[in-house]
Amino acid sequence: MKTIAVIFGGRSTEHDVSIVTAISSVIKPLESTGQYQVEPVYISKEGNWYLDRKLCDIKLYQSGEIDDFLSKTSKIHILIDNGLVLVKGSSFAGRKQYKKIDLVFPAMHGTYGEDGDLMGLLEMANVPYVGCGVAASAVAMDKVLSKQVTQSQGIPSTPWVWFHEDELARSTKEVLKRISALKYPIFVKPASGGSSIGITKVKNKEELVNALEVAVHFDNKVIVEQAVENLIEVTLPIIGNGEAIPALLERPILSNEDFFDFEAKYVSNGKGNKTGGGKKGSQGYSEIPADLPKDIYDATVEIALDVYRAVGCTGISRIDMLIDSKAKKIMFNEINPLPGDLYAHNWVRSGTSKVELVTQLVKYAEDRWIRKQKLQTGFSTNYLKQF
Amino acid sequence: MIFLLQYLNPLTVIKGIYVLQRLEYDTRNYLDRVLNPKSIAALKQYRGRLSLTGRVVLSIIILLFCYFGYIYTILNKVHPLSIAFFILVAGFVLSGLFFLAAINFIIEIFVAAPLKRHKIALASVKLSRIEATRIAVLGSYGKTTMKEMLLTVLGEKYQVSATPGNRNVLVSHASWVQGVVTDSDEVLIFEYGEGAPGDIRRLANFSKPNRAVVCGVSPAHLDKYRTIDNIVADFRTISDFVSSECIYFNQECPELINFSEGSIGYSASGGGSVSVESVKVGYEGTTFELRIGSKNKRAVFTSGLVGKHHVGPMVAVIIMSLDMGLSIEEIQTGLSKVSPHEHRMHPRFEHGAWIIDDTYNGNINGLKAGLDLLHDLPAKRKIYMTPGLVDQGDLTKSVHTELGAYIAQKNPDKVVLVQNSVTHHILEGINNSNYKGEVQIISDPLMFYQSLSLFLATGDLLLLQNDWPDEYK
Repeated sequence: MKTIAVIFGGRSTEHDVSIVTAISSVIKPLESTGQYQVEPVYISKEGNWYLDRKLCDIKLYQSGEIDDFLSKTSKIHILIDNGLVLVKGSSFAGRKQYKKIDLVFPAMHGTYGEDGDLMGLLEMANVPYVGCGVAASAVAMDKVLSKQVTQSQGIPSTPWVWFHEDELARSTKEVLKRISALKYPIFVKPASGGSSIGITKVKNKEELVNALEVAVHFDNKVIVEQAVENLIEVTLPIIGNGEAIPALLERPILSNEDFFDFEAKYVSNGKGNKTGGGKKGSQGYSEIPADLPKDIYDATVEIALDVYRAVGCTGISRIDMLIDSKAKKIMFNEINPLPGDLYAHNWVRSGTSKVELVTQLVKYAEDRWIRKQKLQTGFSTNYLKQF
Repeated sequence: MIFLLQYLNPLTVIKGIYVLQRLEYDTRNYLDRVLNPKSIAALKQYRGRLSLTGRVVLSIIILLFCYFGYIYTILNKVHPLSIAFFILVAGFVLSGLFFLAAINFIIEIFVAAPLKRHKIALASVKLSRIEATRIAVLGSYGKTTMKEMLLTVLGEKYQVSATPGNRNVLVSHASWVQGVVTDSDEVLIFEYGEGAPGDIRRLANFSKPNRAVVCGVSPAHLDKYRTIDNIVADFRTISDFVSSECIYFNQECPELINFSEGSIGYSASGGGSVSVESVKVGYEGTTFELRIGSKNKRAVFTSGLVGKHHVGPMVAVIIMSLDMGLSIEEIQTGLSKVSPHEHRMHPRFEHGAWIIDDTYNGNINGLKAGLDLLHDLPAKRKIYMTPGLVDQGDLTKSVHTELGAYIAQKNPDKVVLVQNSVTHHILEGINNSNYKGEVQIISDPLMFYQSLSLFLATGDLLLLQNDWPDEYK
């Protein structure tokens, strides 16, 4: 039986979202297959790693007992030894428990997890892992980089500008001048944030400075985007390595004044759900599939698939798109290389159960790793003889 | 070796008491299980809980008395045999499993059986005073559904009472007569549970039926009957109690053809003076049109039962009801109130998918009917799950390879089998029929049932058929 480590939590503003993703959409379905030994690996907000079966219980986090639990639990260490080995010490007799991991299922959102940092570690350990690789993760999580890459492939997006935090501090006027080329309303966003944390919709110049200060609080790189008129916001989960397989185009049901923020995504009781059976909180707010004219629907899906391929996504991602319904213009917004909850509700609607989703993702991870083993990474030279 | 240690584990006796209760205190069946160490080791109490009945409490008291008595004896007298033999015997004694068999046997002879006989005698006296039409419902399958349909439909005109649940043995009938049946009941419906040759006669001797329905025959309880012919012969003894023109039999069952001269056959095409036309089946129920009598009167009947295989039994209910004086409108109203019994072709919409719970279905004809339904109903993806059948005796291999072949023929997208002693037979049938879909084998059906939301997607149709009791492996 293969041992799969599900790594979640982490030093990220999306720490709590990651806990839900890991427990309900990854660990439970994997264990239900009866084919895997699943090890929950939790990274605390301070960045310490823990391994314990009790970490699978959501009540531990909801009740606030997690800190007390961690204070009594040994941290684990990572050993890179022809793969990944987790080492857990014991308070008795100095004995250690070694757990060899056959595959890693990252369930971390945001910084240090979804942005490629964790993937880098896993690449060094040469262990198969689910989801996007280092480069795709880094590009996807950086809204500026992802727009630069997709723009180079001719994929349209709404007008945007970007700047570094020190640039704002050094030449505020210059930055504001660049922003003034955009038409209000605009969106000010941390370049590498997720779950819409730190994003502000700005309707006029007076609100701008405050919004910029909020954004730089979360990231030292900021992107400012012009809002789309006659907006229809949609999102599309996609899985696959070479061949990208879309789920259903999903449209959040929001009023014109709102946007798809953290509250709407994860906390709201929902504002109407045409699909029926909506639930509180996460994913209780969408139209699946999005009710769009067929040509717009198909074109949006095609562009989203182009984005997926252009960035080099593998495993799973979710592509957010913006549509100007009057001008019939479809624009790329952003990519989520690890969607919250894996967006399993959408996959279930499209005919893929949670169990099938995670087992397919495990297979993609294994396929990618096998292909990588065949690559030549060594090269003999006489270079050293010169010294 | 590890299995043998089960016999030395004093706590194993708790499992033993649970098994004995599940087997309805049948000492012989219990010993068959207990003598198989793998069976005891693998037993998990996950479907039911030990019910602390008077019999269980009495058994525990006697067992404890024996334990302490044995320990006292050993402490007072050193046994002359070697230490190893002493430990082995002590182990068998301490585990209590075989002690329990002896205790159960003694309780059965001196306590339970006399009490049962007394209960039955009292109930017989009460029953003899009640003037009501008595309907016997027999068959290897379909009895409970038939009983519930008759209860509901006949209830439109009469005060009807029926034996409860699937409690279909003589002592249960007696309890029901004593506790529930009243003088004002106009129709009494007895579900006959056949388990061994002679059961039908014993049940009929008690209930004295004047109408009977024979629902069908399939390989069941072959450990006692040995052959299907013996089952049919047992069913035919009902003719000694009920006149032929009041016996309705399922003529779709080849073994029942010409059940008795003058008896009335029924099928999905009709029976008696009625014939069936235009059957429609959906998730909400089944509708069909009937031509009635020589004047070709037509009527539409709808019920919440799902599946074409219910049409024949519904025809039986209709013709019996007509014979008993119900109007067509009364029958239509009654049938429309019939809904699936829990765990018998019971459709539920959950997690965006349809789930048909047929986990009480325990015969090959029933499984085939379910597979037909799975094939006929529309769905994005069709999934079939079964552990197979128990108590098939010498026909175990043939029944399960036949099942596997039928599964392949009906071609669901996915088949989920529960790992047990018949799985390889089902797989053989599936593989020999070039099935191209996905087969998954699970070891823990309870985990599967509890995690259905993880395994299903929108548009799926899942059919769950049969569920093995804990004591079967």
